[in-house]
Amino acid sequence: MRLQSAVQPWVWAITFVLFGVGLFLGLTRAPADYQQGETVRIMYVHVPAAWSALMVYTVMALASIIGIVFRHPLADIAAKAAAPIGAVFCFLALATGSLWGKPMWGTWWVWDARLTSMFVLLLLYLGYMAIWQAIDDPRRASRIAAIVAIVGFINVPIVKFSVDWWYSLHQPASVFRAGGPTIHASILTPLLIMGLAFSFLFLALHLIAIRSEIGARRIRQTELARTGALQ
Amino acid sequence: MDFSAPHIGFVISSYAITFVVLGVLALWIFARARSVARRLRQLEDEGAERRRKTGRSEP
Repeated sequence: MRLQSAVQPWVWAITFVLFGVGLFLGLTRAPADYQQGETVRIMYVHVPAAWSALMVYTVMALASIIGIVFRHPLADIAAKAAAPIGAVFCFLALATGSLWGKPMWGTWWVWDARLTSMFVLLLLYLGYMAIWQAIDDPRRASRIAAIVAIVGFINVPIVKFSVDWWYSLHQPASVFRAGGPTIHASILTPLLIMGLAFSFLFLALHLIAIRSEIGARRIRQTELARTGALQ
Repeated sequence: MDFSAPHIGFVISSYAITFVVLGVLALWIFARARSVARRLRQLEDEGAERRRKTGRSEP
């Protein structure tokens, strides 16, 4: 807790600086695309949101494995606290992707592999959160939610490789691919900075959410103990 | 950025949605943290008050 309090201001400061630099470069210095024109700038929020949604789910799955195997008390707290943040990133990736798709593909949505697997990821996030809401016993909820998170992780590589495995309207990987990125540095630099900005935003919000979850559990235990003492 | 370019509305909408939604998420997380901290303080005060009334010292 003390470490978190010490780290928190630095994480927020780095987040704001990264967003400032990333937006400045992405919106004013990076060139418009020769085919997509200014619409390419949607990429600086769409792609980092999609990366972050996948990263957060991976964090949740790893925390769930640690929770199940080592029974570390912080593991399921970390997984639970990450879920709403990941769900928001996933929603943003879908929403901004839709806003990109309409002018570029002529449609808001197609049920192709990348879009559908990303939508499944959003459903996994919502399902994971619904389990915590629906089950009163936290130990049982954490076990079932962890299993859902671990099993659902199979969707993460499906999202990543969907554009290679199936025919898709979505463009293939152009940053994290064998042979290196295919994007010019003037576009790649702001994209990577925005990716880092989203990652630090996740870290900043996750630290607060973990602290809240620990506090909420202490409240629950105290209230349960009091109810028991009164009976 | 050229604000007269075609489809610029889609670009502005994307950034607007992103920052509004992220702002709401951050506010929700801060609000929850504040309400949890307030309830914890309240419980600690109540516990201290109870210990004072029953004459028990702090453990």
